[in-house]
Order: sequence, then C-alpha cells, then structure tokens
Amino acid sequence: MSHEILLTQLLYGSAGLLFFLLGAWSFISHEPLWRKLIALNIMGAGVFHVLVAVAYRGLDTPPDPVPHALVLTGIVVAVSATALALAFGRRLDREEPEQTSDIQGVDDREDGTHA
Amino acid sequence: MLDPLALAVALPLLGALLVTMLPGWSRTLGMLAALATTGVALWLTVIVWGGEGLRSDLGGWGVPLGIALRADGLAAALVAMANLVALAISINATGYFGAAESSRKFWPLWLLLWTALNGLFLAADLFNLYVMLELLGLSAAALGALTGTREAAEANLRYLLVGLLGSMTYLLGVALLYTAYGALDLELVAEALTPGPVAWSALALMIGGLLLKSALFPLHFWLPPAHANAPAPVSAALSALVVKAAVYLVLRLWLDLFDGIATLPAAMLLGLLGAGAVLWGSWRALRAERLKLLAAYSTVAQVGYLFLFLPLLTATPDGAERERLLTALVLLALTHGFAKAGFFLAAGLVQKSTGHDRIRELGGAAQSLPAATFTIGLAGVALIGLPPSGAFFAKWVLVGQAIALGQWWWALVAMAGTLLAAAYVFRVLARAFNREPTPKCFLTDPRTEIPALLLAGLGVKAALVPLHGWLPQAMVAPAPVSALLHAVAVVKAGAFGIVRVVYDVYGVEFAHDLGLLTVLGVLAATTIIYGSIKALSQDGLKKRLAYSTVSQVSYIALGASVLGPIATIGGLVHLVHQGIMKITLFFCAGNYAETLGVHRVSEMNGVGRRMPWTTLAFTVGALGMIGIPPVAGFVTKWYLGLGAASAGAYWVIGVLLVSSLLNAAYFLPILYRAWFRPPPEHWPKEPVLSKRLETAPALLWPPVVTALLAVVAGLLAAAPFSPLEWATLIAEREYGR
Repeated sequence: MSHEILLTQLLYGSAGLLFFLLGAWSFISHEPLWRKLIALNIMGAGVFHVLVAVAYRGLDTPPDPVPHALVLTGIVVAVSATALALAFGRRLDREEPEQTSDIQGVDDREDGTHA
Repeated sequence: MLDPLALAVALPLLGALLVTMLPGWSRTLGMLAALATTGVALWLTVIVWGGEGLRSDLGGWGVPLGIALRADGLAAALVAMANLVALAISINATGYFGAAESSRKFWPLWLLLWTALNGLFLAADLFNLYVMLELLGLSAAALGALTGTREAAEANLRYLLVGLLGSMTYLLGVALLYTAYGALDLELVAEALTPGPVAWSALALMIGGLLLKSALFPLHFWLPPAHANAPAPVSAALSALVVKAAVYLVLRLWLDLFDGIATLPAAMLLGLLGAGAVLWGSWRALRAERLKLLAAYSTVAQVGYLFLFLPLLTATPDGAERERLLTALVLLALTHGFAKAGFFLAAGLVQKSTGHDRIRELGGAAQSLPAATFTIGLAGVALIGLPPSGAFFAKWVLVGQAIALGQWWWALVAMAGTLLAAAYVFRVLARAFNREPTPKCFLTDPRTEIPALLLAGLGVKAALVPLHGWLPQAMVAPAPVSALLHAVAVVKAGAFGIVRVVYDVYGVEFAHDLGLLTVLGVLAATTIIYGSIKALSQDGLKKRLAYSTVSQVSYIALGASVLGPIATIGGLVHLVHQGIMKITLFFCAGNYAETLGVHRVSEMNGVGRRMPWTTLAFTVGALGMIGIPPVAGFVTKWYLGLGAASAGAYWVIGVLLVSSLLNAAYFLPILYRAWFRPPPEHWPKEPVLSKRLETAPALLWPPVVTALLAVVAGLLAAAPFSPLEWATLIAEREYGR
C-alpha cells in the first residue's frame, strides 16, 4: 500500500514540477505578454499540483487539509492577478487610449490655475 | 477580547470592502477606516513598547493549522510609522480628490494596499507572506495605473507579470518546505530546518523568486524599460518602494529563516551577482542616452550594493559588528529610496519642460530648470556616496568590514561602482550647466519641484535624518500630499536616524573621538543659518516653509552633535515637535491655496479676517517655530540651549539665538500681514464652499488639531507618552550605561 501512495505522490509531484518548468520555459522564451500570462498560469497549476500531491495520505486516511487551503487561496490570488493583467491588456489594445482626466483635473485645481 | 494584531489587518480590509460597496460614501467610510486602523496600530505599538512581543493565533486555531500574526519591536515600529504616514495621506486625499471620480477609485485600492502593508509586517508564516506580497503587488500595480495613461498600463502590466513569475517561484519553495517539514510558521520552520537538498532547493527557489522582484543582476532585465517608460511619479514609487519591499523580504528570509542553511558559498554567489549588478548597472547608466534610463540602470546598480552586504553578514559573527553592518544596509536602502525618487521626479520635470530627456541635448537645462538640475545634483551626491549622505556612511561601513574580514574584493567593487556613479552623475551635470546667462529664479514650478528637491535633500541628509522605507509611498499620493509628508517624515527620521547612525553605528564616544560630531555640528549650524536666510527672501508661502524645514531639520543634527544627554533630548524631541508644527503650517498653506487661491506671502493681507481658524493654527505653528512658550518649539530650544551650556558648547547657544531671530524675521511679517493688514477687495480665487465654515471641514480640521497638539506637547511636556518623555528614554538608554 505505502508503495502505491509513494508512487502516486511521486507521479503527481513530478508532473507538477514538470508543469512548473514548462511554464517557466515558456515565460522566458516567448515575447508576447499573453503567452507569458498563460505560462504563468501553467506554472501556478504546477505548484498547486505539487501541493495537492503532498496532501494525499492514502485511500484510508483523509487528506491533509492545510495544502488544500493553500491551493484554494493560491487559485484565488492567481485568478485576481490574471484578471488585473487582462484588464491592463485591454487598455493597451485600444487604439486610442482614453484620456482619463480626473487626476489631471485635480492637479490643476490645487494650483488654482483652473479658476 | 479585541485583538490589535487581527484588527490592524482586518480594519483596512473591511474599509476597502465598504468603500467598494458604497462608493458614494467612499470619503467618509475611507476616513473612518483610516482613523480606526491608525488607532489600532498605535495601540499595538504601545503594547509592544511596554512589554514583550505580541503573537496571536487567529480564530483560536494554533499552528500548524491556523494563521498566526506576530509583532516584535521592529514590526511594531514599522507598523506605527507606516500607519501614521498612511493616515496623513488619507486626510489629505479627502481634501485633494474631493468627490471626483478618481476618489472612488483611489479609496478601495489605497485601503487594500494598507491592508497588505500591515499584513506583511505582522505575518508570521511563509504562506501569508506570499499572499500579502501578492496583494501589495496587485494594489500597487493598480494604483500606479490610476492615471489611466497607456504608458502606466504597459509598465504596470510588465511589472505585474514579472512579479507573478517571482512569486510563483517563491510559492514552489514554500511547497517544498511544507512537504519536508509540515509547517509554514516562520519560527517552526526555522527550528526544524536542517541542511540538505530540500532546504537548499527551497532557499534557491524562494530567494530566486524574490531576487526577480528585487531586480538583481542578471534578473534586472524588466526594470529599466518599466521604470524608464512609466510616468515619473510611478517610476519613483517603483524604484523606491516596490523593489525595496522585495529586498526586505530577501533579508528577512536570509537572516531569520535560512540562518545556518545559507552557507558562505551561497552568500558569495549573491554577493557576486550584486557585484555584477553594481558594475553592469553603473556601466549601462554611464552609456545610457536618456535620463530616466540612466536612473533606472542606476537602480539596478544600487540594489547590487545591498547584496554586497550578504557575504559580509554571513561571515560576521553576532555582535556589535553585525548590528553595524545591518544598520548600514538599511541606511543605504533608505538613502537610495529618497535619492532615486527625487531623481526620477526631477527627470520627469526635465522631460515635461523640454519635451525629451536625452542627456546629449540637456544643454542649458540648469538655466531653464535650476531646481530640477539641483535636485539631480543632490540625488547624485547620494548615489555616488559623497559625505554627508547616508550612502557615504553605509559604504564606509561596508568597505571597512570587507577589509576587516579579508574579503577585500567587495571593497574594490564598491569603489569601482562609486567611481562609475560619479562619472554618470557628472556626465549629466556637465551637460546641464553649459550655457549662459544665469537664471533669474531658482524655482520654476514650485509645486512639482519642491517635492523632488526635498526628496533628494533627504537622500543626501539621510545620514542625519534617514527615514524608514515607507515614505516613498508618498509618491503614490498626489503632489501636495507628498509635500506634506516631508514634514511628517522629519518626525520619523529621528528615532531611526540620529540614534541609529550616530549612536548605534559609531557610538557617541567613538563619533566624538573621530571628530565626526564637530563636523556634524558645523554642518548643522551652517544649514540652520543658510535655510533661515533663504526662507527670509522667499515670497511663495510654501517655498518659505520648505526653506524653513531645511533649517529646522538641522536642529536635530545639532542636538546629536553636542555630546551630552540634555542636548540629545532637545534634538530628538525637536523631531516630533517640528513635525507637528510644520505639518500645521503646510496644512494651512494648502488651505489658503485651496480656498482663496493665495500662494504668496505678499497676497496674504487680511487672510486672518477671512479665515480666522486657519490663521490661528498658522500663528501657533509659526510661534512654535520661533520658540515662544508655551508652544512645543520652546521646549526644544530650551533643552538644546541647556545641553549646549552643560557640554560647554557655547557657540551652539549663539547659533540658536541667531536662528531664532531669523525665524522671527521670516514668520512675524506673515502674521502681521494676515492679522493687521486690510484684506483685498477680491481674492485670487473666490471660495464657493460652505457658508458656515471658512473652508471645507476636511481641510480645516487637520491644522486646527495639529496646532492644538503643538500647544499640548509644549504644556504637558512632562506627561507620560509625550515626545519629551520618549526622547528622554532614548537618551537615557544611550548615555545611561
């Protein structure tokens, strides 16, 4: 039994590391920012894979909850970061970037020049 | 049972949620959250100050299952200062953004950043550090793009992606550590950690990920384009704050967690990379064609210096020597933070006014933009490491310890880097100063020039007044906020600056023997008189206040330079008192500008009748600056004078008298104009604000409250927790033994 656990863990863990390395390679070797973003998500999946493998303690024992909590938190963080990166990307893709003048308007006001 | 540790993180987070849900109330709710958070942070500080460190397991779940927060002395000090500065930013933001659309975007992001800051200081486990680091990075990137320009979005996207790569690598290191030791708590892991492949791999992954975030050569590739293409204030914040936060975490892991695992060869490798960064970054800066690119490569080099300390730290046994090295390291990071922020802001001014920042075509910039050029010069002094900048002291300690340990090659690198830095700074200055005729006016745009100037000045003065790293956050805030913060910054400077550098690094006796204190005293006295005379000739109200700050800051150095406990108390207490009084004056200047459009002293006739409360607060601040009882400034000058007399340094009393006369000369005419001259028929800008109050409440209350504080600090100087008591405590610790 313990042999199987070890083998399963080893398989999952190595797959995670492989993911991580693939993502890292892709991040470094590809110029477009989109590919980098996807590569990052693959790296993240690799790390989560490793953590899930760590949590596995055999069929009879319930898995270790701590790595699961870590993975859940990590996924939330990764999703938020991806969303922010996509929002930045959308801004960049617009041909004529919209001039948000709030800040500049306030700047002027302090100097009293707008009056 | 209320838990200050949990509240310090939870309150700003709650505030961020509320302002997101109720954007119409964002100002009120944001301010409430800011006040509550600061209150809790101060409470936490008082507890840690009075006893042992705090530790709390959230929800009653102990390690290894729960999440723990802890506060030791250093964390508490950092939290207190970060929160005070953040509160000041918040107060001013209410008046500054008003009800504009940007206010609604500012508050949620700002409170999230605040949450991440407190969380980062208080986190006790590796995974929480990861989450807080990500939260800090995300909110900083979003705040940086608040202007909405394309450049800002592009720079922040790139930073975000590289930051993510770094933190993913860090996270894999955390996963490895958990696999091997089944714990995430910093202390537990540090205890369980044994040298071996797992520990080494985790060390390499975690430190490697953070190195990417701190842009150490050869992982610096993302920094120059990002920092050089971002808008100037964003670059300033990125260079001074975000990079430093990662460096701070590297140090924390290196010193706390991997102490004993991190072998000398590993440290040597980092030192080698640091040396590469110093040489390569400086060389590229020398060859750079654009001013901002030069500044960005210079950041690469300066981060390299910080890593030169690692092999020395690892080779130095615990004790005074090691403490001194650590202090020098922190000092270098702070100096660079200020100097580089000032440099970037000045480069932004050059770019804005000339339309480009090509160094080759800078000819005559000194004539058209004297203040910006002067700022670059000042920042350059700090980057090169000339005395009296903080970098000089830091490099002095670095070189000294390298030679003492026999690792002389680091000393060679530091010196070569210094030479290269001198070359690239003088290359800019030589271009800038090559045209006649001389300018008529030193400042061309005070609103933007003064913050840059003050920052660079702080960089140079960091040996006298180093702040800690959170001030650069001021750069996230709009220009008037940062001007205000320099006044607060001076407050924080003291405890960390004077005490750390003169007392901890050198020790009072040793510094005295070296003759260092005499030099410091003469420099301080010269600065006091010079600043006062310059202030006398300024018509712009904020300019006059800025020169007054230059002068007042040197009182602190003067106190430290007189060997003896009483003058030390005077100098230290001046830090706090000067901060309260100067913040009052800056608040009032802002109110005059905002409400009536009054920017100059010559326009101030009769403002006392139009704005009695603001002018009353201004009067209190001004009288305090002169040193008239019962305002707090009197206590300061009294102690400085007493201390000088008891140490036999009678010339200091002369300096005090002359400078007080000068203070009176530049403040009393303002008060005379404000109260006794008739007001003009029309103000430069007619107020459209509330009829009952003289100006917006958010603008009015801060100066009134700080003016009140200035009087209370003077009247109740002997009460517990007054600035005087704290300063006495510090002085006793230094001289008591």
